[in-house]
Amino acid sequence: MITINTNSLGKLLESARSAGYRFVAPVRDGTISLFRPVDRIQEIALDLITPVKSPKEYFFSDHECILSYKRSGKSLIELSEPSKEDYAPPTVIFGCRPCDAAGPGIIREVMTWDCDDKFFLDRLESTVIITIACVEADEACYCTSVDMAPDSETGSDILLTPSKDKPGVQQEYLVKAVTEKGSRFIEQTKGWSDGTVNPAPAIEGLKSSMKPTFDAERVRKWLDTSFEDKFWDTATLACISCGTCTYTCPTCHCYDIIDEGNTDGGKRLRNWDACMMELFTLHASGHNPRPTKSNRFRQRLTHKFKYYPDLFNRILCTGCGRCQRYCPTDHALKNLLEQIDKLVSTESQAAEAVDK
Amino acid sequence: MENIYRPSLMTILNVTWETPDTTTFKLAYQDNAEKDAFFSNYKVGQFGEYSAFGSGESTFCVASPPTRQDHIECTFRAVGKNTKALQAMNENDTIGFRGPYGNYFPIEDWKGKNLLFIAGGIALPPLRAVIWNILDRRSDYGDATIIYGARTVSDLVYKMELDEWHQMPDVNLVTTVDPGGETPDWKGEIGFVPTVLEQAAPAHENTIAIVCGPPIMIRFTFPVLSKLGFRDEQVFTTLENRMKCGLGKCGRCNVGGTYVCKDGPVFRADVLHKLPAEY
Amino acid sequence: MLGVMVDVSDAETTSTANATFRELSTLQSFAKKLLESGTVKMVIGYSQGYTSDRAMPAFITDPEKASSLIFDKRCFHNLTMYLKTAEIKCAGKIAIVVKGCDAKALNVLLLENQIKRENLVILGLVCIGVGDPTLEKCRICNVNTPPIYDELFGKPVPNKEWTSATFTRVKELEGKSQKELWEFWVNEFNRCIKCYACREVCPICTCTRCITDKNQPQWVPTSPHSMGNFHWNLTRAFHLAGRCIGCDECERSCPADIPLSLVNWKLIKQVFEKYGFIAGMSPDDLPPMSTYVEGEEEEFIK
Repeated sequence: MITINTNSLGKLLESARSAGYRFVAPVRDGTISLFRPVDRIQEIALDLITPVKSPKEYFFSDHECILSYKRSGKSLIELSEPSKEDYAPPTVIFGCRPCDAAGPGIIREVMTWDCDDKFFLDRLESTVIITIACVEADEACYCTSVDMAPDSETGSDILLTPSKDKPGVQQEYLVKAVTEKGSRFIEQTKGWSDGTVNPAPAIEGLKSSMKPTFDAERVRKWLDTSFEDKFWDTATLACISCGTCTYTCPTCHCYDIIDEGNTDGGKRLRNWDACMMELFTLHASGHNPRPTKSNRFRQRLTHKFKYYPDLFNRILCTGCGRCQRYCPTDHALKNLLEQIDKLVSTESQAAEAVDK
Repeated sequence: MENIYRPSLMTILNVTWETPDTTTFKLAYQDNAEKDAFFSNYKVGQFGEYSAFGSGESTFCVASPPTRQDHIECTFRAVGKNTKALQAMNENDTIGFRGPYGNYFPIEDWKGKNLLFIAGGIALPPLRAVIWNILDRRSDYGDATIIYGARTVSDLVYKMELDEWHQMPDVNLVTTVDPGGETPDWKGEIGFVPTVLEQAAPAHENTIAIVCGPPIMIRFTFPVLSKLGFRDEQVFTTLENRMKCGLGKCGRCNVGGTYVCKDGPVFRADVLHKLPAEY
Repeated sequence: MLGVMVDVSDAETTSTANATFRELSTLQSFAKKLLESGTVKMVIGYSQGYTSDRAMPAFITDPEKASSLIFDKRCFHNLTMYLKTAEIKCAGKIAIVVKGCDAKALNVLLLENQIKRENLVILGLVCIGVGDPTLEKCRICNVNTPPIYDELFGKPVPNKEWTSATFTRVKELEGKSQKELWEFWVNEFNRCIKCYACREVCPICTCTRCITDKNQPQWVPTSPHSMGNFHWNLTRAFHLAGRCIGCDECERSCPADIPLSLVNWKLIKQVFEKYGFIAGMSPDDLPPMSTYVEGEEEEFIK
């Protein structure tokens, strides 16, 4: 199997760029971090667990034109659309974590459900995802609780597994082409690999230390019957109903469609939207099917851990931990999931005790 | 790949003011292929996304039956930004339309049955499509009873058609307005829809009831229907959650795990009762 | 009643923010009594967060849980924001833990008739700063002892007086040219993702329907592009002119780390210099931006 070491990453970037790819990687910008096109390997921040923003926006933009209209006569309208070359240029997403790499593939299920969202799919097709397995996690991370692991291949085209368990130091990475697309990319841009020795993957320590903190299947069963449970009202009091968790989430995909322009011409945009916001479901009549934040938090959690799995057999969550890390009140999915799991085991213990 | 958000361009053939804030548009496809594609799919109960370019899109049902293939009609009340912009438009203007979306009333399964239509206010349009569809194929169906109410006489929509249905010997039309909403020359009933329904007491045997109206009307109509002997399997209604894409992607119309835009807007009462009350 | 809080002799220095809050057990037992006696239905305070190095808001209804209350340098949250939420509005009489800056928000809410005084038991804490290192707002704090409370925990500290010289961070920014300022803010606001955490976390953002959520007409473009972001962030700040109490929760909550406090404090400084007014010092002070006094200077009309 081929390898690449830290010193050769520059070569990888160069060969990708000369093959016509935009090279997107995690960078620091002031106090925040995000994925951004880079020109030089020195710009990349490889020591981050995850940047604040996930790479979701490279597949599903926070705002994008889906249609332009122009008045072409007194009562005639002409429509045009953005070209694929503009919205879906060949792109390499380099250095994302397995949790972020899995996101687009999960969203793909709904984006191709009965009809295809071309803006999402075209981007997914023109993007090569090169993932670096984790050797470090923080308290908010919980990938192992949602059928993932620090070295999951799901969603990646190429997976790099580090040889040393210290991030940011001189590393040698084991290079694995996960998909056909990944192999083609390696073939197309070859010249950056450092031979074919087998370094010992350094992720075993993290893998064994990251035990699942809740049982997603058990939570799903509880959700089947607990829509009206009083748990929701008390457990969601600290939530402030903002969009931080949804907008930093690699799998949240709800959106709004709006027009910007006037009757003579303008654009139709698709913008991120969030089920956590009161306006999301508010009818023009003033009626709101989800008027309270507990209703809305329940929707977000249940969508991720029951509705989406029921429909597509995949949890709508990769355990990246951003919803906890960036929540202004430290109130996040993981903790509610753990509480639910605990609730279920206490209930079942109580039931067993009664049986005995 | 096709852009699923690209609307068809439609010309407004005719504008009818139903009430001071409710309008019916008669619309014609500017592109014949798009028209054919629409009519090869369209079934009564389905909806579309209508847009005044520059103001966004709004969701409402197609109010004309597939038996009339030269145009489509829609009836809407101006409440939001886009519906107000639409209402400001004139004959010959161009609007955008995407559809048909969602499920439909299973009228093929209803052949030979009596049909009881119960509607309130602005919710007659989805039923109107069914009514004309079955009237255009009159021999396929049994008795047709329509109970339609609005707050006031001026809030009744399709007044011309109400007259027309009234004249038809094989349609039993009961119109009503809320107490206080009558005019001196009002000849219909006075009372809320559920009450009038109870008085009319239509038979439940071999009958399908289709109920459309504001949530409060639906809530009080269902118990009356069961009192009259209707089983939930005989009762259909529609949900009107807020939507954006209409295609089962944007996540807005969810009632629990159900996408109203795909699994609805038409729901049989027994299915509806299994959903969480998020509508 | 009053015990000794931290090293009061050191109150002027920032190092004391690291000290533990010695009045904590008094606060806990007071909260417990309030709940036991039925005086209040709920106590809103701080507890250990889910994340080990964070605190989080706590909504305590069970007297036995009052012992989970904490107060330390991690207790950033301005808990008064919850008073605007439907859940708390219908919770009946409640007790709320406030630092000085949070108490300022209570005064604004009382002044603007957003909350009922009789529904509140205010548990004021003498606070000499949160954050490690201590936050800028704490460095220039003029309400170490809260301006309003029913029960005070900690020995009162004499409050500092503001002068124009207080606002050093704003002054730095004021030194920039218009072009530099424009570039600075374009760059900062560009990162906005329109999550509205700044609005939701703000105790003073009390509009039932925010102007950015109104679309007839569409005053503020909802898209997170440069224009939409500029519109939103400036509209938000202007609506808080003369009302913002400078708790800087918007900046702390911003996932994009936009220095929103710089906008807010510029307005605070402006209002202070023009009208000698500091929002939230009393529930009776008339707000300058919505009060007209006969004979007042109207230099904006020229």
